[in-house]
Amino acid sequence: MGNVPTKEPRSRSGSLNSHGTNTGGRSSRRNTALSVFNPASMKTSKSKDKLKAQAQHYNDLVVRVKELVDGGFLAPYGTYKLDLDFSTSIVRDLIIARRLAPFYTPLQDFDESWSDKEIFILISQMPLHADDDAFAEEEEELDPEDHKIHRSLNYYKRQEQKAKKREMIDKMKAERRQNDLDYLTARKSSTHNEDLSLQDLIIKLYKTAVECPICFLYFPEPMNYSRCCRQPICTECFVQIKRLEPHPPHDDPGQQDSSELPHTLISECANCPYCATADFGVTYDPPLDVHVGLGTTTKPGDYREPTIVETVAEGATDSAVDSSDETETHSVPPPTRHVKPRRRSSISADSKSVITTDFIRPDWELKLASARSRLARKSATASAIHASSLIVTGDSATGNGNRLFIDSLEDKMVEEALRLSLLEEEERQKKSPGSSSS
Amino acid sequence: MAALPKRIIKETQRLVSDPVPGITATPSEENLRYFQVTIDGPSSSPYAKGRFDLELFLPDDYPMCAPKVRFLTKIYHPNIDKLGRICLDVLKDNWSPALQIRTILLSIQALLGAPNPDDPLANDVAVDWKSDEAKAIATAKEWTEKYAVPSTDSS
Repeated sequence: MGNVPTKEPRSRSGSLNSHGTNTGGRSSRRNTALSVFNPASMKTSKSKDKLKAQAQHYNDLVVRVKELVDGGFLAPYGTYKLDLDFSTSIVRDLIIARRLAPFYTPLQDFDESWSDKEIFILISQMPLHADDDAFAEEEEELDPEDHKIHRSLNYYKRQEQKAKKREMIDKMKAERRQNDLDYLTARKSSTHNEDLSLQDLIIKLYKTAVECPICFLYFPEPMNYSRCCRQPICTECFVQIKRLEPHPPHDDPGQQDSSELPHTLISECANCPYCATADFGVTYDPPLDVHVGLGTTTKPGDYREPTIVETVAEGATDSAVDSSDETETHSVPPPTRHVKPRRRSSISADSKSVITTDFIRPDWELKLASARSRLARKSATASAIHASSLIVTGDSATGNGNRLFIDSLEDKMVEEALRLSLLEEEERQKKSPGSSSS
Repeated sequence: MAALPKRIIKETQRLVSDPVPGITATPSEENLRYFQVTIDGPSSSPYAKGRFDLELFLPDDYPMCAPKVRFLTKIYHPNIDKLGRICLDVLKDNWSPALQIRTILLSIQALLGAPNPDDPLANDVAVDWKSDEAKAIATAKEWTEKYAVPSTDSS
């Protein structure tokens, strides 16, 4: 995804320079010119990239049997709404690298007295996805211009984008349904399918299922564990946790940062849901005796439960060598190579093994910055309106004595508008290399 | 109607099978995300002997966002306003998905036992509380008797 990094910044800065040398009056016009006549080709290529990234995001939210890691998957089951904001490509890479537990099909209930056979039947009858009817009635987002008679160009653009997004979501849902059908049919058929997890594997995984303390569903061990207090959390709940939406600072004297502007927005990192430690992050120790699917040479259908524990480590070491097919994971040594004891204490948030909620959302800073500039623009507009209403009343009272004042005010407003749009440009430029890397 | 997440079903079951002393929460028949709640005032507080009615709603994003809780019974408390809205950190920014209906209701009960006039929601009450605490407590007792004590011992 991402913009075309070479072309974009150049043309942008080019247009900036040519206008930057203009006088104040003309650069204020530049502001409107930028939004209306700005090179259409550039904009479309940018929105095309955005659409492509969006399509990829939704495509990544489909559970596919062939994309299996240790009996789990790369896409969520669907316990929560599907308006997910994490980077699916980062999470997929983390799962393949065994740095985050895969998305397992959750068990709604679990009883230790269940026999192996019962567990297998239960799991093999489960679809890959939750029934998406649960969130079918998605509330139509209202557009601020919905009630207007004269709508801006942007309104129609937004409507178009919305329609495209809806189309993508529908496509994703259709594929989820189709995959469920195919999967359940394959499960029922008696012919061997190397992509499907065998009974042995399923029983091995789910026989000791544990409850996630947040969704109350049951998952195979090992789960992800909070870095601070070592509490379990399933991957689907983990990807839900994120920093607070940008908001004005709370009027708590302890929190006030003197370096911040009074009208700025802040966003705190996510706290651990269990012990409230800041910078929530998890670690994952992959199972030593289950190493199948992506990143290995073992197909889930070929998995055999090792009978003796000693051979497990050896077998795992062998299969760990073959992670050469993914370039992304090279920096991370296959975790099965060193058999380390499960940790007991907390780990610092910047430790390499820790996955934080910001790590899977590389765009959080950008979002905060754009929320800030939106607010700045709003308040600039507000003060402009306020100032102009002052001028009108001032004018009628004291005649044209205020001309000078008005002129200086106008200059100030132009300056402010210029400053804001420069800021915006800077951000956009920062954004382009950033988003292309994710 | 949309299917209810397992978590809400289990929480409801556990509230019934293992109730919290002094607190009841009953889901409405029409909407299983809507609960009628009662909280007994802590015995050492001006709200002792009072039984307060509240309503609790679990939004779509629950447990990723806090339940919405409101007092229905009138109460004189610096952190609860005229509309019954509650100023409590765990209902806002300090909400955690590891908290539950049970723990939230216990926090509200604890708030009755420990009013915090320094972080007020009902400003007039907080001012009273700080200027003349004895009088404020007397008023709280009076309101409790007037609005929250069941006239006949039906419980």
